[in-house]
Parts: sequence; C-alpha cells; structure tokens
Amino acid sequence: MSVRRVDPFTILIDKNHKEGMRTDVVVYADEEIEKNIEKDALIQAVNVATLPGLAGRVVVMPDIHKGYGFPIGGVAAFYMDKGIISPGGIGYDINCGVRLLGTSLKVGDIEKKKKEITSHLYRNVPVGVGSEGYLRLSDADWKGVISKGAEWAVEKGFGDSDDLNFIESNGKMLSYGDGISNKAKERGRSQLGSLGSGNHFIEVSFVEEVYDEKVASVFGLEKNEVCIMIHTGSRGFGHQIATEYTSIMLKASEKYGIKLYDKELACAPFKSEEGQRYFDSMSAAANFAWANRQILKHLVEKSILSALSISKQQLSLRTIYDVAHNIAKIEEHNLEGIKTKLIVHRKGATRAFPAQSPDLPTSYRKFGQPVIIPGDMGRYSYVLVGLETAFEKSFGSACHGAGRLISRTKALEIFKGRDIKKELEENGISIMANSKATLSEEMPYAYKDVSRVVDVVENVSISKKVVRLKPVCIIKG
Amino acid sequence: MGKVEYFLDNDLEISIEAKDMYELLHLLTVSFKEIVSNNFEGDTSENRELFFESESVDLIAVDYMNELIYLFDVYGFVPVRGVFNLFDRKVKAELFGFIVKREDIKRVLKAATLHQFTIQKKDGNIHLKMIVDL
Repeated sequence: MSVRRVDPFTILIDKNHKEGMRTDVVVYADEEIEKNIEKDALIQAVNVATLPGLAGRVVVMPDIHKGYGFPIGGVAAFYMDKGIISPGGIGYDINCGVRLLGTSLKVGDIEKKKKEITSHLYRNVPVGVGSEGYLRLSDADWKGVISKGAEWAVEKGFGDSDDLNFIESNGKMLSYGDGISNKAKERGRSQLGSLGSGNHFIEVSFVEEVYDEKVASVFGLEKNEVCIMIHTGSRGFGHQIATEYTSIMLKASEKYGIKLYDKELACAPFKSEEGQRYFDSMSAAANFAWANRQILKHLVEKSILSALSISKQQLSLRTIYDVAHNIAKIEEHNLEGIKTKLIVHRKGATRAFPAQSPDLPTSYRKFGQPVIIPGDMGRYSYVLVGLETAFEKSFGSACHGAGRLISRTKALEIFKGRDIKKELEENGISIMANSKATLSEEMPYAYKDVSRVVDVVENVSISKKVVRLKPVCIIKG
Repeated sequence: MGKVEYFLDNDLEISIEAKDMYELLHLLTVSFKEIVSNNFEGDTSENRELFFESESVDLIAVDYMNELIYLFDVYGFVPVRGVFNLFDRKVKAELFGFIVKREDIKRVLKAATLHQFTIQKKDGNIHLKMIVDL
C-alpha cells in the first residue's frame, strides 16, 4: 500500500491508488500513530472510497482502527440524490456516544467518598453482560422512545427538559419506526436504562487542566470541578437493526448494481426504499440511545446524592453535552462554494461543529460545540471545541476516543496475574467492574494515549482543547 | 467428524469444517454454548423453534448465528443441541437447551457479521470462517 505523508499530521492515499476508488482518502495521524495503524484499517478506508455518490474525500481520524466495512474513526459524506447509505458506515452499536455532566462539586468534596460513589453507582446502574434496565417497554412506550428519544425519557420523569438543549440533535431524530422488526424491539425491551458491557462505562472525573478559560467557562467547566461521563449506546435494539439491515442492504447492493469490495459495505441508494427504511430505523435506534443516556443520567444523580448525602441543589447535575459517535446525519455542507445537503456517516467519529452553527445551543453558539473525547480508564479524557476548519477538513468531525493499541487477548496475556483494580486504586481511581477479565481487557495501556490523538486533531485545526479530565471513580460492565 | 475452532480477540473468529450443512449447524450450536456460557451441563429442559429464510444458502450460517444471538439476548436461551430441516434457503430448527443464569454468562455476542466471511466446498467438506462482533 502506497501512502504519502503530506505534512506532519496528514497522510494522503490518492484515488489512483486502487482501481474503483472514486476519491482520495485522508488520514489524520502523526508519525508515531502511523506506526501502529493496522494495514487492514487503511484497506477498509480505501474500500469506502469506492462507494458511489461520495462527496469530497473519505476522512479518517487518528484513533483509526479496523472495523467492519468502514474503519473505526471513519467519516464519509454522500450526496442525497446519487449517494448511498450503509449500515457499515455507522456500526452495530448505533449512536454509541458519550454524555458529559457537570456538577457544583469540586474534587476535594468527593476525595474521601470515592468508594461510596463507585459502589452506589454500581448498585444503581444496571451494568455488565446481560444487564437489564428497570423499565419494561410497552408498545405505547416503544412509540414514544422511537419517535421522541431523550424527550420521551424526560416526559417519564428522567432528568429535565433543559437537558434536551444540550444533546446533539436535541436527543431525537425524525423516525416513524415502520421498518423496525419485532425482534429488534424484543431485544431492546428490557435494556433501556442499562449500561451494557465491554468498553461502556460511567466515569466520575475532575477538571485537571484548563486550556481555554473562556470556552471552559461557557461550557460551565472550571478547574477541579467534578464531572461525570456516560459512555453507552443503543444496546441490543441497535445491534438487531444493524444486523437485519446489513442483510437487506446486501441484497439491495446487488439490486442496484453497486459493486462491493467488502460485504460489510452493503448499501443502497439513500433515496431508495431500502435506504430510507434503514435511515428511519437507524434514527429510531439513535433515539433509543439518547433515551438510554437520559435515564442513566437520572441513575447517576440518584447514586451521587445517596453516596454523598447531599441535595439536588448542592449537586446541581446538568448536561454539558451529549455526542454520538456512530451515526449518519443529514447535514448541509459547503462544497466548492455551494451549500449542499449530504448524508454524513460517522463511525467512531464525533461531530465537531464550530461557532455560529445553528444546531448548537444558544449559549454555545458563539464558541462552538463541545467535543467529548474519552480516554482509557486510567489516564485522562478531554473536552474539545469544534473549529471552523473542521467543515473543510472533515465534514465537521473529530476523533471519538483513544482506539485500542493491543487486542483483548494480548491485554489478558500481558496483564495476567496483575491486580489492575489495586493498581488503579493506588493511583487514586476507585473502580468496580463486572469481571476481572473486563479490567484486564480495558487496561489503560491496552489503548493508545488519547492525548496524542487529541493533539493531532488540534494540530490539523479540527478542534482545540478546552479541558482535560482525570478519572477518580469508574464503573464498567 | 467435523471440526470447529474459535479464537477470541477483539471479536470472535469461528472456523468450521463440516461434511454438510446439518453438521455445520450442529457445530455452530455446540460452540455457541461453549462461548457464551460457563454452564457445562447438558440441560435440555427448554426448547425453542426457529424458522428463517436466508438470502442465499451461503448466508444460512450467519443468519443462524444471529438467530441464536437473538434468543440468548432476549430469553437467555442457550442451545445444547438441535434438529434441523433445510429446504433450499429455508431453515427450520427445533433447539433444546436451557435458560442461562446471569452468573453463568461468559460472554455476550453482538452480531454475526459478514466481515471476512467465507464459505466454500473443499475436499468434499464445507469450510466456513465467520467473525462475530462482541
């Protein structure tokens, strides 16, 4: 594979590299990150560049790694009339994303209560393999979740309506739910309000460093402030929709004469019946995920109030922002001076809109969108802000996390015999997880250093750092 | 006698060699139980019926795996053995197994994918390779 570095943070794969490519691939990565990029991940990016109706280039973020179909960290935009939509460009965990919550607490207020906070979270939040939420959705509930997303959860008493202003797309996308199977609903019926397992987590952290005081202040973040991050998605509901539509799209690809270099790139024209049904179903799954994170916010609040024996007012838990990192959105972008509606696929990539974007809450519009980038469980996470150049460079997208450095199996091998929980506790982090294997698999050094990933994104002027967060309490599945 | 190997890493890679589709489905059933559950007993007190039609004969194994994932996720059902009837692309199966206790869940599978999926006839046997998302 011939790969050309065009500057210290950008690699270009020219469209003439492989037969069938319709556009170039741009990979944002420094030399150190480049050394660890899997060859298969680059091949996947090249395959994406063969799909019809692409607008601009295929873009890949510095947390790139191998996925199914699209690489993780991939962004591709398609014209609405002649472009496609592909479940492989979103992922099986539709609207896997992160919500960041702010509080009135400082890290000193919780220093002596970390274990209590962790155990209350672990007790109250359904977490781990086979975890189920407290709710059992009726058919009427399903209609609400599918069409209203986070708003439905607020109507049911989880959180408040002010949260909705601080969620991407206000926590709901238009969906009628007509293309959703009973199987998908059955899979999701008992899982709303649960965290799941694997790399999903809830993390209590504090603002360790402030890089931009002005923007931090607008986001409501200050040094030593206690924050909470919730990372989860659409659970079995989304997985089932993705599974079913991958199969439907495989048949559709043949029907519409679309050549596939990878079966997981199965797709249909966006405006076709199959394309529209998938988009509607994907939107329903996205709404489920936003409702899920809204309910989990409520459970986080309940847990911290009881752990610290404080009032709601003393905690003042609020949503700073909620971002999706596996999703397709209809967005207007400037292409060669013309405003054009595109269907933007982000798989393991986060929207990063700059100042003046009408989609942003009024209070953030002057400065830009918070971009929440979780790191691994031992080190740090970041909040960035979207920059104007992001539109030109990446369809207004940034990275989504650190990306794995070593496989789960390798992590288990390397960290065998080590007491990861004890090591983290010695570093001031209280943690509870469903299994020791989860801790080893999700060990900090199993992931790339997120600061490196974030530095690349900042150096290419897609987003810039606002604060760095340090974890103190974590629960994992 | 067929062979099945699976390799757990960031995802689950399953390789099967079987004399025919019936044996292939049987081996998938047995390996599913080993992968998801710590319960090593052969309890068959529960049964479930499956019927599905695949887009092609080649995709039957992927679709069957996804059916098992669905039954496990919704009901906690783990198959121990099955009786299969195949008519072209249609599959009818009666599965016998148990409902897993939460503490016996070893791993949850998300979806059987088409990623690097291959199925071919070689030396008189079916050779399959499938990747399952965890």
